[in-house]
Amino acid sequence: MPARSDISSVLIIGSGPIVIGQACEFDYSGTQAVQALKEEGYRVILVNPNPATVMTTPGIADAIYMEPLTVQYVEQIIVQEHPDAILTTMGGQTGLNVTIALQRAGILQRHGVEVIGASIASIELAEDRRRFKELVTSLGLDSAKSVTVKSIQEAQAFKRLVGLPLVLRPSYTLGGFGGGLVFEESDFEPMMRAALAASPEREVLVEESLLGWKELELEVMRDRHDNAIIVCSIENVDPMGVHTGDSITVAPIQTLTDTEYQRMRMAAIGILRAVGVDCGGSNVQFALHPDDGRMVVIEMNPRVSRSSALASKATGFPIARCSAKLAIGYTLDEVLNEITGATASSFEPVLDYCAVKVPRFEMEKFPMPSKALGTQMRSVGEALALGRTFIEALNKAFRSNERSMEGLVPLEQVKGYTESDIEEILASAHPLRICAAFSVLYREGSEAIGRICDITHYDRWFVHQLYRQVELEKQLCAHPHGQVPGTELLLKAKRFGMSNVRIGELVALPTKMIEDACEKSEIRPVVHHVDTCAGEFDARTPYCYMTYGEADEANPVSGDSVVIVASGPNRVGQGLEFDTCCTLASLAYRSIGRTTIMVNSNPETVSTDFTISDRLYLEPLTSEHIRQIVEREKASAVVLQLGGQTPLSMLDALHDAGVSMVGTSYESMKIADDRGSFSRLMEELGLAQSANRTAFARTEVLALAKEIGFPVLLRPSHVLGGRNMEIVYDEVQLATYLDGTVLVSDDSPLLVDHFLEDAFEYDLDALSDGESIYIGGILQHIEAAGIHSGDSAAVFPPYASKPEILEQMRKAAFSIAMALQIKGFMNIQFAVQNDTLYIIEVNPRASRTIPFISKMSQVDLVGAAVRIWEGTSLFEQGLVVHPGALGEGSCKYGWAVKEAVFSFDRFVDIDPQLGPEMRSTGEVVGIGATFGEAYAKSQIAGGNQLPIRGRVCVSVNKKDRKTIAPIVRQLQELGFEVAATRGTARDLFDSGIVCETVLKTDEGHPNIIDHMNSGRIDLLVNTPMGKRARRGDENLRSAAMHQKIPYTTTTSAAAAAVEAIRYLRSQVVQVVAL
Amino acid sequence: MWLSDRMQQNFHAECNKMLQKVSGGCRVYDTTLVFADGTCYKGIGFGRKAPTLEQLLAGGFAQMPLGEIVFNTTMGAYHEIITDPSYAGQSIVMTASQVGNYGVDPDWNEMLGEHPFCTALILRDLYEGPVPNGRRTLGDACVEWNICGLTDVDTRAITLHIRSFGSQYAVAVGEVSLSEPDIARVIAWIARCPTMLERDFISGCSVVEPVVFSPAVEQKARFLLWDFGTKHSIVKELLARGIEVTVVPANRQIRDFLTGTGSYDALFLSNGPGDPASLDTIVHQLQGVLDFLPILGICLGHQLAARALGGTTEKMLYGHHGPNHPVRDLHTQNVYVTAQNHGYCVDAATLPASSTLWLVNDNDQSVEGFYDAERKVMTVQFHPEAAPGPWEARKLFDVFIDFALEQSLPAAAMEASDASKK
Repeated sequence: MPARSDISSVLIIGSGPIVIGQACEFDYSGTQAVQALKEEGYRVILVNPNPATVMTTPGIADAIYMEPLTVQYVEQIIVQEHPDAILTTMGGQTGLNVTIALQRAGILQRHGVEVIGASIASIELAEDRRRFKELVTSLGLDSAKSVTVKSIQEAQAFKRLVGLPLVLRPSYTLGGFGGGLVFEESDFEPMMRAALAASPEREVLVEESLLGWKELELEVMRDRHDNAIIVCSIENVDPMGVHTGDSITVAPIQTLTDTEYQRMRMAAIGILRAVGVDCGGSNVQFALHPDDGRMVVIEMNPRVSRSSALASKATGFPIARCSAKLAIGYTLDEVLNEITGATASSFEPVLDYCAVKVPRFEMEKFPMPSKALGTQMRSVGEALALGRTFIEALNKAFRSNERSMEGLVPLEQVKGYTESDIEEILASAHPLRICAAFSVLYREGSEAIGRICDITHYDRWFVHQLYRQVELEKQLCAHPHGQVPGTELLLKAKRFGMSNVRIGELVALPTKMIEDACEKSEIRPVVHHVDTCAGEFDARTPYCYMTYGEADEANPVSGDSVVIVASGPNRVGQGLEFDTCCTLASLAYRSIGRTTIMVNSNPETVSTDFTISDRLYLEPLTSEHIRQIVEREKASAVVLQLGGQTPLSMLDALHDAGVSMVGTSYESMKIADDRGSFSRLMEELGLAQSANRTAFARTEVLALAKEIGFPVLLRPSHVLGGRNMEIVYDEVQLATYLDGTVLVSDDSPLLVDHFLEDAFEYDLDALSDGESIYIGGILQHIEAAGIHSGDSAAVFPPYASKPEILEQMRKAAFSIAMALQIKGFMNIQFAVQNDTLYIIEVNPRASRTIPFISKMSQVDLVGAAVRIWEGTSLFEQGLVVHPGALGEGSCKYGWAVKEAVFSFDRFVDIDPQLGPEMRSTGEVVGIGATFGEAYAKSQIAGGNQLPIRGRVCVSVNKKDRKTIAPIVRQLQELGFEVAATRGTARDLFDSGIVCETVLKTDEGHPNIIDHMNSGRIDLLVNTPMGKRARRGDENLRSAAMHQKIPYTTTTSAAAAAVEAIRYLRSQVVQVVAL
Repeated sequence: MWLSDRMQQNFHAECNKMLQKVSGGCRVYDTTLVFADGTCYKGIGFGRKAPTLEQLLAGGFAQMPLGEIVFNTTMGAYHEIITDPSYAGQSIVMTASQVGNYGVDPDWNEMLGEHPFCTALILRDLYEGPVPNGRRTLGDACVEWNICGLTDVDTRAITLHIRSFGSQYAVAVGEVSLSEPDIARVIAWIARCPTMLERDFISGCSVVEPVVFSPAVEQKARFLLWDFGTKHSIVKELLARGIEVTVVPANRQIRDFLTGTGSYDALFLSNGPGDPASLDTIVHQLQGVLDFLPILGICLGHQLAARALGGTTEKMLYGHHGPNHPVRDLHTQNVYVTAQNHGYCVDAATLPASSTLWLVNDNDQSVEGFYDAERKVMTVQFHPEAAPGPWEARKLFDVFIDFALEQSLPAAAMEASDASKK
């Protein structure tokens, strides 16, 4: 069936900001869908307020709107664009929710927009737990047995039927409060009683526990002809009980018999048919009892998902692309498999390798109370690795995860855990559990396999694979220390996916000697193609991985390629924006005829779409792998400026290996990186830095802090996103900080800076060719200094800055760029305190704001950088008026506000306080003709609804009282009631504003937090009160966050909020296409 | 090869030591797989011990692990593949890298007898760890089955080689490294062996005496199943549909069964090993019973039926052996994902005018099924019984039965089958 000709334009809804559980996989799927539809000649309209995405890059879709994903704004877009259809399946849960809301509001019908991809009915059926369960039963399949009871007797009857353990879920309570898992007979009655008591309706859902069952997923595609294929099967190493997003997984399924697998396959297809998915992909999850093989259907997602991105990268089959084609009328057999270029998509991919995913956690940023994982996803990213064997892929995936683990390692060796720690980790669903199992096998040998299986419910096959590595490592350890292992043993270790570093550790030799030994013995990695067909067809694919000891399949892709090192798994501080830079760089290079090679380990990304570069390597981002790729491909240079901190971490190793780097010289990079030499440079250039010192031992810190004066900002060097970064105001706080986990040594010094309180911060992103400089833009942070730049709202252009100061910034940027001979990107962070400009830091690489500034200024900064690297000067590019000049971009859409988005709601016990340590997971943009509109939209897009009426509560420090008065007056004029804490209220009264006085948190009850909890406060203005009130401030913010009360921490942000409220009260909804 | 022989040798010696420790007494030894074209691949032996060079050169082909090399792209499902009698005379390369993961279980046997018929099994990574209770390891099973196994082999390189140069004989030799003259001697030895065309496989794979299987459900018809090495699953699928199945040895005169007591509703031609061009005696017998009763068939049975109708078959470069082949129903335009295992195919142009081309392979357009309403023949090339592989084409058994009993033609029959499901 050909593509539909009755529709000509399609609206695609993106997934908005990155939050835990919804990450850059939707940029990948959305971008694929846009491209797939455009090549069929459809006009594609895209909405996504996430500025970091590839999909919102001009040129990707025909019309791009970066507007809030709310019914109001999307309707306005529909009015403006008249799309014929809306594709529902590409924007994750957010995209589905928006579509359903549009449908329920009658907007789609009113404007004649047809839903394609997955029908509203099928989405609702899949999402409604009860109806879905009924459907599963009607297909003769099993779901978890459950019953809703109102008494212990009823529960007991159910228990007799299914036995223990049982899950108790009291109805109508938040976050599973009052429920739990019953393992013991003696616990049943008391827990049941508690559960009934916890429910306001005295009602409890009692469900059989599937804990410890095997967990499996199938990625299914189905078309309107009822043709269906399984693209990929995925087995979770971690059994049921750990969210699949938090589990280590392997594709294909390893431990099921053919009968078990085929039964699951038919069930999955049957479910798609019954739910009504007939032009797209879905993911179906199953649990399988490890002993009796009973199969239970867990859930299905009638859309592309995180797993489908994973499946696409694990198999090479582009699910989103194919889904988009099915949505517009094609059938599977009509969609060509682009990998083989010869076969139809109506065949099922087969793998002759293993694809292992290891999730990436931010345990430091989002501490887990019990350190245990559960049914809610908590990982922020993931790494995928391919290897011929499971163990090879697993070791590579651990390296890819960039958590300083060289692969599978015994915990006592690397993390200093004790035997009892390890036993505890083994018994809990801890992110490091598999390493605990490995540790136990190290200690106890194969005897422990059974015990480990019993405790962890890992399949014995997985545990045995770990054991094989234990055996190998023992062989290496037994090898005479200080001697290079023989060729055979070395090759075997490499075939197990072990790094040179790890082999070196085991035989007590420097890594370099292992490298040399491999070279001498001609142990070199070989390249295999990912071909979807296990070698059956001659597939000329650009998608590769490396392994050892087999035939090499690929010649260098060209004699003159450039390798782009991407940014690895998503994490706080390094996410989608860097992937966008890498993707755009590859496209830019190719557009001027250069061959590109992309290296990345993050399966969620656009950069790992094999159409983006001339060759794609899914490999760990470590110097060993990058060096090998450069050597094998005879690449002429490596780009390290685009992938965030990850590529820069291998700067020295690659430099030592003689690898040529694109852009700014190694020496300049080192100057920017080294505090001493950087400070000297700033001094030479006459630029001010806040007083700063470096401590190499714990004992030095206090003296240094006193020397430069409190408050001080403490941070370990070489960290991204400000981990362990803290502002301390006095000796006591300093002592507390040093008692924590922070390490201070020669190798990891602690940076001690004087903290510029009450300063404004700025971000400046620039390009230089060493002669001229082009400033992409200057962003002003709206939040107070001390909040990490990634967590602060920022506005482009700066909205409340003196022109002289901005001019000073430009001059500073110019002189730094010239001094460091920057070739390519440079990001400078400034602080302005009392009209004095301070340099906070300079990063000689693309920053996270590059995609945002590029879009808002309509200048493709990544493309410009690539052209600089290829020898076209800024002057030749027309970005500066003459060589040696300074050019600057401007915001082309009036005002643009970038707001940070957090995932705190995933963590019940977390304090949502913002500080110098970055904790946001994503960002949104608000664009407006006025600052108020831009700010208002950024808040809406970030899920933060500013009130247009109600009561504002003001509590600001002395310095701010003068500034705040006119702001409060405006709010009063807008009809807000005003409450204030005592001091603020008095000063407001002096300015002629009468308001209600509320107690501070330490002044008794009812205090400000009580008022917030009772819903009396709709907006909070709270500026930092200095050290004494710090704790109180934090409590206020926590309360605001939990009650979802908008709050601002600076007077400037309060002023911004007022402008936004003014805009919101105007009730104008306008949208603008980029 | 980028590794010197010496290094490979040491490497395998090392691996051997490891594996010996791990596998707890299972015997392992260095083994080389020598192709008819002289290409060699090294691996670690398991299961039946490969002959030494001297033993090989002194021995007859039937006693040696000589097989036509084919690769199968199924992931998992190794037990059903190994025990499929169609692999008689063949050595199987599993392209999936991890094999043996969940052990073996006699319940999954596809052969009706005790032993599989393939000669060698070539793997990238054999699992020798603990398996679920009641199952055995694949390594142990291969010892009992007398199958010559090789693991730690670059199976992908072999696959690419077969893909380029076609299937050919290869023999496993229990030697670490073979010199050029040694290899030349092995090549010469292989060259002296009879070709696949010249060999008889089906008598060895077939039952010795007729066997009757009665359905557990209400019986609605009686089929003769002419056994050239049938898969047990074919029998099971028929039984599940109320068909009593009489399995007839390959070397019996089929006409005797039709003229004797009792009547049969259809003759079902089983799958089986070898080249259909070598089975003219069977084809002649078939020509004798055409029009007596409906004839159904799968795989080799399909090829024999085509030949009986005057069609020809040809050898494919490397055949279809996998779980993922798209087969298009030319009537409905639906595409099934099917399990396949064949090295020969029917030439569509040679089918008589009375025959209707029904199913084709969507990758290479080869014939996957036809029916002949006049001559009452309906056969498919692939394996609707699956085991291993996708189950969706199992409904073709309903189509077969309706065709045999009601003379329904496929499109109508399929619709009926779909309707009954709804």
